[in-house]
Amino acid sequence: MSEQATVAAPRVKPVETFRGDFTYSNSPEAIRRFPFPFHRDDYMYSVNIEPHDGTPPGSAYAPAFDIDEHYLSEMAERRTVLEEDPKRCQVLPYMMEAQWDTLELMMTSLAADYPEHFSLTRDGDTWTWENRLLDIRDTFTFKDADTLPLEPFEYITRQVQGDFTLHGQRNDMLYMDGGMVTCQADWSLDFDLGMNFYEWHGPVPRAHEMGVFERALKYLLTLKVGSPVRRLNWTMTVNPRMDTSPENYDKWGIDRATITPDNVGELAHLRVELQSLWRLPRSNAILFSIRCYLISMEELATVPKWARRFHRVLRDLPEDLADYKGFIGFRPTVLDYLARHDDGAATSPGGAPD
Amino acid sequence: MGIKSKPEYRELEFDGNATRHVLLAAGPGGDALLRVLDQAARLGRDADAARGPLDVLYLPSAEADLSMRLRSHALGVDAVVAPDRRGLESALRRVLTKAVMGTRLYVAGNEAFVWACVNVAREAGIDDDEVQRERCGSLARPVQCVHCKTTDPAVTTNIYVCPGCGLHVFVRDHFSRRLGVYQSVCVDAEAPGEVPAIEEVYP
Repeated sequence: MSEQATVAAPRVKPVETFRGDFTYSNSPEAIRRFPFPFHRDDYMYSVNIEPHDGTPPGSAYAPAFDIDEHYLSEMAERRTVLEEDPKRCQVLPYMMEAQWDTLELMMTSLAADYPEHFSLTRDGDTWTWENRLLDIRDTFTFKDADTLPLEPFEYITRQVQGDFTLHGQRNDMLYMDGGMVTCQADWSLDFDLGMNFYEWHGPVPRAHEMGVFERALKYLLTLKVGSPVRRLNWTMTVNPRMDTSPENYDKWGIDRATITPDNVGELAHLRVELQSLWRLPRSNAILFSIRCYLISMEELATVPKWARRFHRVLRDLPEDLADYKGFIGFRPTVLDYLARHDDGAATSPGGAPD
Repeated sequence: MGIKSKPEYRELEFDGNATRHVLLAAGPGGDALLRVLDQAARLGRDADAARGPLDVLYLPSAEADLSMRLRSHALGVDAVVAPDRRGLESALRRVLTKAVMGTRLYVAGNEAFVWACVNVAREAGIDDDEVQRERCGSLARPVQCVHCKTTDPAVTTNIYVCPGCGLHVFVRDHFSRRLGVYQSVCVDAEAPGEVPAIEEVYP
């Protein structure tokens, strides 16, 4: 957690949509701070975990939980999804301690990183939380769930961008013991709830054989309070659609067939997850934060280095990964578009724009 | 390599170290219980005291009814024969209220039956890993449609029409122990009407 504010108060846009008329877009500032996930011109699975330590200042990586211009839109989208499908937020009964841990971590982090928008006043167990962006002000008793309008995990995760899952640790294993999952890349919390680490990663190709999950699990089991870590993951999505859940795949799957050379720049999006992992102090559970960013190919191409590099990564990605990630069908159209922005010039190391 | 969440099964085997034994089966799974009872009997009379109590709960099915053979087994166990799965589950709950440290469960039947029993045991505080599981009889899978959450208890084909929402859904190997079901997903979402050949793969 930051000792002081590491980001300026973000300008927050009025509500845009992630469905229907899809009015979502990125401002030039949002594009510049997009967490572009490729540090080289090729890509393969790796554990690629680094400390989530407040660096680099001013980037999307700096805050504990990044709040950006899409805050109001994403919170509105979350409310819509939960209204349609309340099972997107579930926590197993023995995780109440972890729920309070999460609430405390998020409230103290947001208040420290964004004092203009959030504040937390603590007088013993009597806490007052103020979220000026959503016009919320509640006084409650810490660890007394009856004093909040919702269970603590749902209460706070309705106010923070990104999906969140809770993982109890027992017998050197992590379990999917709860979550708020409304902007996921095609996995179901309701189905995976209660699974162990290997089970919920079951459908991922290659990584099991490569030993990625054994190494990642071993690493996570020793995660320390106060030393969160992060990694990036990515896929492609058609339209700026946050809710690419399996539950609604029958409705959004058809989007994949709508990409044409004329609309690919606008419709095809790179979807990046900034994932951070936090050991929680009382429960010893792990909080997994999956913060989703979407950028259209048109927007991506405004950064020449990114268009060149993404073209090369996408072109060289093995078939089975492209299939698993769900874009094998429209990959050629995206490649044609990106090829026009790739002059073959060398790219600089690291993910940041030149 | 298959999906990691897909459960594994093996032949039941009498565990001489357990202090209490609860044997459960449906239909043809009764054969597996008879085998376990034979193994227990082979330990002989002297072992009786050390072996601890042994319960047999059985649910006959259209595939097989081994009630008589279980009841007349030489070990002389008073097998409970349940009229339906609900009855068997209540009987199991009653037995498990008397469960002690060292209780072992042995379950044999189709997948829907096996996981229904495992979940009752879990509610009683018995870990999945303390339950031996053998799959017997039909390979039919209990499958839950990810879209409408309707469960079809016995799917034998790679693709089926969900009885809840009417979509053509494909059966994945992804399995939830908590729900005791495989997951199915719309098969023609990206090309409506293009449904691949439907084949019986879980006879």
